[in-house]
Amino acid sequence: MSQITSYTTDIRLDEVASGADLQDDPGWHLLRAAVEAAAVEHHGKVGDHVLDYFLRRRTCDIALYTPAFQRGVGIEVDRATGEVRFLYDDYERPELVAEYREDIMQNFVTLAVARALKDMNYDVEVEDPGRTAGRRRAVVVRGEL
Amino acid sequence: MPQIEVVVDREGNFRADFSGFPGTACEEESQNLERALRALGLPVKVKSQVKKSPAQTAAECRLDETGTGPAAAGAAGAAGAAGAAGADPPGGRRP
Repeated sequence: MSQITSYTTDIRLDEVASGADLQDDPGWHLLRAAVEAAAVEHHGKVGDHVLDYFLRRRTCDIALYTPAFQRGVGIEVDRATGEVRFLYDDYERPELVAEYREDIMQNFVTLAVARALKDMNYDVEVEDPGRTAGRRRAVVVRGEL
Repeated sequence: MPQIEVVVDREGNFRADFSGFPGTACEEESQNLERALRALGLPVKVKSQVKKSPAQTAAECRLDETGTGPAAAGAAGAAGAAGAAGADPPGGRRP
């Protein structure tokens, strides 16, 4: 019997929580790819720190900088729990930062689903409808045995 | 052919439509997908689940056998998903 299931998601890197190095966690490589994809889309770059409004620096695991938001949206992985946290000072730019967070989350989940289906021996296609009025729409991942 | 179509929203939540799975294969496959995602750093929680009727499932399987079902419909404008991470970065596929 077939079914339709809706899922809520959260990023958590279990290998890291088990004591593995970040580089040894497959989820980390997907997360990095998700941030890099967002950087390409927004003509930005990635780095390892964020700045607050007063230009104070804080190191993180990866950060996205764009021409429109050079303080950066950072990501930090809690080494004890594997939980992923966003770091930023969104003063005066909360909508822009929210958009970048959504881009990274949507990229990560798209990459993870595509990779999971490939690992399950599905032929995978990704359909990205692009943006409407500047906002990206839902992305479709299809897997066929 | 069995097919899974996943729609990922802006918050990273998603809906998975399992079609063309006979018997209990669908439930097993949804659990396999959940396990695979967890191993990739994406633990998921089921928000809602709707079982398709036996007639609907049978129709999906019949349609597929004739080559006119979801599996044969293709995906207009779809980009291939492959690469080092197992899939192209979404941002890299847009024109």
